[in-house]
Amino acid sequence: MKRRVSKLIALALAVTTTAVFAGCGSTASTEVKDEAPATEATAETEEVAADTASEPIEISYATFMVGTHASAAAETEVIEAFNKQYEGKIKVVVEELPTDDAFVEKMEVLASSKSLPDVLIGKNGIRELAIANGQAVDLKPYLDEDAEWMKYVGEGAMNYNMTDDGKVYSISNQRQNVGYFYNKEMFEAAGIEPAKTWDEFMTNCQTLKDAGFTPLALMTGENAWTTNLWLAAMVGTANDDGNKFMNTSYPDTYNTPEFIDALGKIQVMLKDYTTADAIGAIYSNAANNFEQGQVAMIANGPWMCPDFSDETKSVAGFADKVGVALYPNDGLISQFEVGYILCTADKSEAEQQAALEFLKFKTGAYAQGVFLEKAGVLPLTDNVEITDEYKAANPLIAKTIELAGQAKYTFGTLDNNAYPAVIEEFAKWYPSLAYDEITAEDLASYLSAANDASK
Amino acid sequence: MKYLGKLFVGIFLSIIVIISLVPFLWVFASSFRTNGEILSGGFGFAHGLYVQNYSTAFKLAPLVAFYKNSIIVAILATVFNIAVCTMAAYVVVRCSFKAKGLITAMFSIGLIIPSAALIQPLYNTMMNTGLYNTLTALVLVYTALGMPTTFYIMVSYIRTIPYTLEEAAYIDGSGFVRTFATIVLPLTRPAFATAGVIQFLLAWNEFQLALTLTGDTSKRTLPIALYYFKSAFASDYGAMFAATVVVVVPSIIVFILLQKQVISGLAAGSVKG
Amino acid sequence: MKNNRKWIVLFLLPGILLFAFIFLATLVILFGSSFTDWTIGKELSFVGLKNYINIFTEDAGFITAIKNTFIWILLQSTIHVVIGVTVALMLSRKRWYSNAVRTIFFIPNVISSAALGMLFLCTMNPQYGLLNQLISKITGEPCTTNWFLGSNSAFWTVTMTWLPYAGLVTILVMAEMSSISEDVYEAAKIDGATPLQTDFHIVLPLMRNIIGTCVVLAATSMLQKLDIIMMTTSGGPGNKTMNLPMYVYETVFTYKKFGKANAEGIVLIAVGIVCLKVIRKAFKMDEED
Repeated sequence: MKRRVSKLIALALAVTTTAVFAGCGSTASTEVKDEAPATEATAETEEVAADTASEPIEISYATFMVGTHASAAAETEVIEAFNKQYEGKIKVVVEELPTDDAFVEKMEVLASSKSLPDVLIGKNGIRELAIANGQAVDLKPYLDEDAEWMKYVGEGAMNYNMTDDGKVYSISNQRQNVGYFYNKEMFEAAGIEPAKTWDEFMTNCQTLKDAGFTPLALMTGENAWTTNLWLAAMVGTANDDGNKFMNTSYPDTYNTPEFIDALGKIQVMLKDYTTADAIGAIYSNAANNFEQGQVAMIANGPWMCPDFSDETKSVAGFADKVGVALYPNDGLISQFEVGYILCTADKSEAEQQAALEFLKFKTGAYAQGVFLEKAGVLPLTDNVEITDEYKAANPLIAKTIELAGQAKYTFGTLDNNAYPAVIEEFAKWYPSLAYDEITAEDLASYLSAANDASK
Repeated sequence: MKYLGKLFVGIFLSIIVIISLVPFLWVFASSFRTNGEILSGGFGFAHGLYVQNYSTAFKLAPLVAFYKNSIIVAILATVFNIAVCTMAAYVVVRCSFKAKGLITAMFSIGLIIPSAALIQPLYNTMMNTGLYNTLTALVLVYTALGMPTTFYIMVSYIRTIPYTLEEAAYIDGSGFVRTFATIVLPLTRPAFATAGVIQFLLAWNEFQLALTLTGDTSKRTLPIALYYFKSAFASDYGAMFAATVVVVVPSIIVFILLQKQVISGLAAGSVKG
Repeated sequence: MKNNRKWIVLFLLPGILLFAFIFLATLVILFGSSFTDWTIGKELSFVGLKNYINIFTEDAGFITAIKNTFIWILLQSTIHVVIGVTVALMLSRKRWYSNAVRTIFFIPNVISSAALGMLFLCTMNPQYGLLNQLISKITGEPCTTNWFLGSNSAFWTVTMTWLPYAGLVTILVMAEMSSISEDVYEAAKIDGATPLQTDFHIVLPLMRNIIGTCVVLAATSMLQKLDIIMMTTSGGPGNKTMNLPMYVYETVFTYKKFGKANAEGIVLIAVGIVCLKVIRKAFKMDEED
């Protein structure tokens, strides 16, 4: 009994002291806040001093390409290669953030405290936050002075991320060519070819249905990815206005005739041409329906290809049954990602140089090659060679690249062009659209409202 | 009548057992299924028992390091939390002082503060105190987050202890702390055990703050591991459920061990009425 | 009652310090910034009650969120607690199965939400889910009801992911029951009371405090419920399963309007305070025994 008492008292004391210590910290914190830049500055001078003593400069980097992410292996390899090449000079400290959502949320927290890592991917509005909070660095001057780097980034990727006043705050990490995959066996059995027009497409869906196949693998959960690719394709190939719309980031309104018309078609597709579980399904459900040979078509990018020969995901021999096609009206999603941003505006010159070095490495020829090889990520320019062996080993990716040359309409995804709040509305309202509780016009106006609220 | 009552109890408890057991069995079974099998439903194991999920789980996520951290954080947060709350609950129940209402309100606040609002301020606090990216930060946060629940449980339980026992101790010349430690604490064992389980689970399962308040893989806890299997286009649910089983088992063991305390507390307890 | 100031202060101090360190700054920021248009990268300016007026007049979703939150609080503080207490009473008479059932009933509480969300998505899947397969087997007709996103079933399906899982209530009540002396049961038996009468007239009144505590915990847990909703319905279809914490969360992370989010947060806290007051009063929790 006695021993327990003394233990408890010791414990209570320990708690009190920790708490007191912590408490002092908190009262002091308000004072410290104002001095924060000062302490940071001393840290910098130390860092610089350390640099002269040839200690490596540490730069911070955050990534969501971990765990089961398709690019996880490539990511690790590139970071390790960098740390090895710059051993003793620069060291990249990585923060792993599993899932895109977790990554975006944490970066939002860091952005509002002005403490984003030195290098990171600025997607889903993070780049805009970094510009707003003053951390982001304009990369245009650095691109101008480094011809070798510029060669592998390319005009296209640079222009894609250029602001109206000619600044470039991010370097894309990949080119995306997204068409759709189809089950060749089912197409043959139903006696159809990939459609050339949207009317033909809808007829094809009916033909497939009549032949006893479910035409489309759709989903409305998460970001409604496989559904919204069709939506983007319908808007982007409708006419010149629609194509312009799908190439505009943050459009003014979603109440356009092309968009409403496309939503109307999506409504039909959700009602008649997809699986019973599409409403509320997440990406994995849609992908699984296609990979298990239950559904004839899925819109998705080449990163899906490794799944087709993975027997824990697809039925045996599935890879041979898959074809890839352009959207009707010769459309293809072809865009650059937002890519990497440099958040060292308030850091020392040495740190900025080190971080820039890493960003160059990450977007350079070597990294693009690794990502292509290991993750099926398409390089930014043709200067990164895609070998014939690679094409032979990855026929669907090769075919996608080939199709890109034939596309008449190219455009971006909604995820890249719309505010996160707009994307969120899809998951909420697609079910109501599918169950006829709202109309395409209603949905367009909800999207526009979310768009307005985000400005 | 008696027969009907028994039948009702039997049916009711059977339903309870079924709805509670099915989720766990489903998770357990799924940890031996492939991704495709999980998503396509059904009961079978077409690929046999797919035990590779477990090796994948350990390969893809830093489970071992996270495990170690989780054990440290959960145990410390539970011990501190119970110490802090029991002391506070004791004086709130037994002593009379003016600020009682205020203290109760203070201990209740964690129940009604939206978690989304806590994230940013806590991040700033930990940055400013140099506790960011430390297990200490997590221990402190979880200790505080669990304060309301433990406090309420302890208050409720201490109220059931008759004051006469303590009175007798005081008459014998025992001091405040000694009375608390020798008379009150032993009697609150069942409540300790129950509050302890709840607090342990909080610290063991919390995800959002763990992710926000740490940066290094070496400083992170188990709930984060589960998200290593859920990426945008390449989730591996088989591995995720394998990891879930690995994460859940200690919780169940802790529960069973602590609940033994409740039962053995009976001998010491039995004071009410 | 003892009245030893030194010890009172020392016993309360750790809790007070911890509160100050973890919650105080948040509360101050929350309240203060709810009157501003705080967002990232813009000059902060005072906007008075604008945020409060906006959320009540312009956001249809917010009103739905409040309504849903209230219904969930009501259900959770009644049905959920009744289930938990009933099981506790049934298990209180030591039977061979008592410990096993109690442990099993608690298991859903130990599974982390990442797995629970996926579990519910899979078992409720309209096409392949366990539930629909069972229904199809029993009725002999194919069942493809979309439980989570059908506009009639969504709210109740989400509710069922937490309403019956009252293992926590059960263990809390059972822990306190363990303090009831056997003599009480003996005496009741001698007086000729049936077990049911003993439960209702003797045991339950003695449990008033802990049941009150359970109601407080159950009700306020609905002010924190977030991850299951996010993983299953995202608040949809429409706003049918939207609740206050989810709404606050979206305003913070999707819209990044911190001032507005914090006004919503203050409303959430106000709802919580009302709940606490009502429950504490109903269960006479502020009175001494």
